[in-house]
Amino acid sequence: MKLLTKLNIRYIVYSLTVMLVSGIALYFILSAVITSQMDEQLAGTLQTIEKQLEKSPVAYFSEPFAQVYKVENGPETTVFSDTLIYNEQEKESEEYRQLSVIKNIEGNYFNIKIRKSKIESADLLENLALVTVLAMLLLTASLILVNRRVAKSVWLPFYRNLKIVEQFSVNGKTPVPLVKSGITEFDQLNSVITGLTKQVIFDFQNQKQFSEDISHELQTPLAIISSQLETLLSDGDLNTEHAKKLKSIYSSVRRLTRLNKDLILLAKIENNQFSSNEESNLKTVIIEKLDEFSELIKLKKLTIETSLTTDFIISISPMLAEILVNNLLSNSINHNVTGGKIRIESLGGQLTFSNSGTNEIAHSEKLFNRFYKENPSSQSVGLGLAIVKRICENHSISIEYSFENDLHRFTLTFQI
Amino acid sequence: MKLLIVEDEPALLEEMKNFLERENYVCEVAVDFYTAVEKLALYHYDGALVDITLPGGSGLQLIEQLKKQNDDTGIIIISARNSLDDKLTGLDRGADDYLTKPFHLAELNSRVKSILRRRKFDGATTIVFNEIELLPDEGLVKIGNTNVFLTKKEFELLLFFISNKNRLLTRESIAEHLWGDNIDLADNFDFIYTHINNLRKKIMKAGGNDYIKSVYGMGYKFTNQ
Repeated sequence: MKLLTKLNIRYIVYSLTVMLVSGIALYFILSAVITSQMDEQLAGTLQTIEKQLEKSPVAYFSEPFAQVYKVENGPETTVFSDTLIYNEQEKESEEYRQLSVIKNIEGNYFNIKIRKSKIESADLLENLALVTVLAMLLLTASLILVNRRVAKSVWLPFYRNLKIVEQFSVNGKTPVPLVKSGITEFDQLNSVITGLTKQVIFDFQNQKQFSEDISHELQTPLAIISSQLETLLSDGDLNTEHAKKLKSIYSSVRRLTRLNKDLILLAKIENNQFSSNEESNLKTVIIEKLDEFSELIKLKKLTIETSLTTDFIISISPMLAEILVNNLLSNSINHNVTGGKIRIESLGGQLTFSNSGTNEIAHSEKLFNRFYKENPSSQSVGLGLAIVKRICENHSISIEYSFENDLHRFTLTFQI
Repeated sequence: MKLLIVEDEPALLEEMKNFLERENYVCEVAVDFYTAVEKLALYHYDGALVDITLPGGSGLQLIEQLKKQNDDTGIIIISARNSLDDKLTGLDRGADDYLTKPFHLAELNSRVKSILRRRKFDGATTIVFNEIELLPDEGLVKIGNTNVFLTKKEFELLLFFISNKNRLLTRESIAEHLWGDNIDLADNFDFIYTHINNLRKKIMKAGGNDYIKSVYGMGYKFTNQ
């Protein structure tokens, strides 16, 4: 629920309650005031009647407003009450305020009943209540409206900043550019968020720098180990046992070297250290790479089917374009079956690389993950497709894997 | 042939020096920028191997200086950073080749040879190994008077072998030499085997001897011993 809606609902519930309570209170207070005023008027009339009775003590009637008749004896009483009296003309009962008194006047006991219609006062009360309720409703409505208006402008910077924060990426070099609102709370929130993002970016960069530095620092020792091993192996005076050990060391060092190189490459792609203001035609790159791999393809007895009708000219550094095609193509050579085929097709804004295979990849969702290997005993590093994915992401190309008709298929969709 | 190796890592420097000396180069070394500047000012070298990150300065500056003094010195940049920018800048300033650490010594050797060949003889040399004759410029191979028809990669492979004769070439270094270090052939080294077998057959069919020996099951050696 939006904050504004929530606030409005609260306002409405609150003001309705207040209106109800104050309406009821107002009704009772007003009717009490009116009744006491009527009682005063009735008392005034009683005095006039008493004076008249002192002069001529005779009973008389003036229905329904006054009844005076003699009673045998006391005691003297004064009773105010509400009563209903049937009106013959209107054919309905009407409410009256009544003062009933038994009094000894000049030796005679009189019961004096005087009444006053409550209709007028009820009307008055009704009108008053109506006006009050209307005024309150109007007040509430205008309050809500004004509140909405004010809240909208007050919360505007908040929503704007929310959008900015949503787009935050740890890869960005600068903290989020939040808008100043001039509202203390929001500005406080801004400074907290800015501080947090600064710290996150700093930590992330630090971490990244650290792993990159490690990779770079590893290059030289690896170079030393591997060149010394090569020298040692070339010497020739090795017995079989030593040669076997050295061979195993050598393969491990080569793997380490390859792993390290791939990690450095991956980091560089992530850091956008390749210029993208150059254009490459993937079609040309594919044709070149196919030529370069022609021996490998022949050795594995693969057939190549290409239907590249359109050019794929995208802004990508030539080196990355080469790595992209290289990895996809060497993937489809490496994971092919002997005598299988590789099919490269262009269709609209899509480019597909398919290669023969027997089984679908078991965990295709992990295919582009770092170090994912379908076959755990594989000697490969498992970064080739992760690199492909990263290059695609950085160049707004979407890549998907599918398996049909015994073909592994990688589909690259270009946003044109 | 006289080479200058500029490298600040002593162990690697030592290794490169020993290796190249066995290839009958006269090697001098410099471990920092100033020593290198001094040596380049005093002596003339046929080739220089230059590390980019050096104590005291950048290898790129050395290349500039070298180009001013001796235009005919072949230069190979050796860098721990596989950066295209470094590579382009280096080649732009007059370096002939760029090698990323870690590299195979055989690869280094083949690059040094190829550069010296290009620089000193304008590439117009034939490389001879017993009855086998290679013409790198034309991509031709002759055995006696018979032309051997090799594919581009087979030619490169033979040249790589002859440049590194009598030395063990690991399958990894062969794969990387032929297909670059971006290809991961770890699971497919039988490629190399088949590839080498094809080359071997073609040479023998043209009347050549089989010089390719398998070593320890991890590589090959081109030798007539």
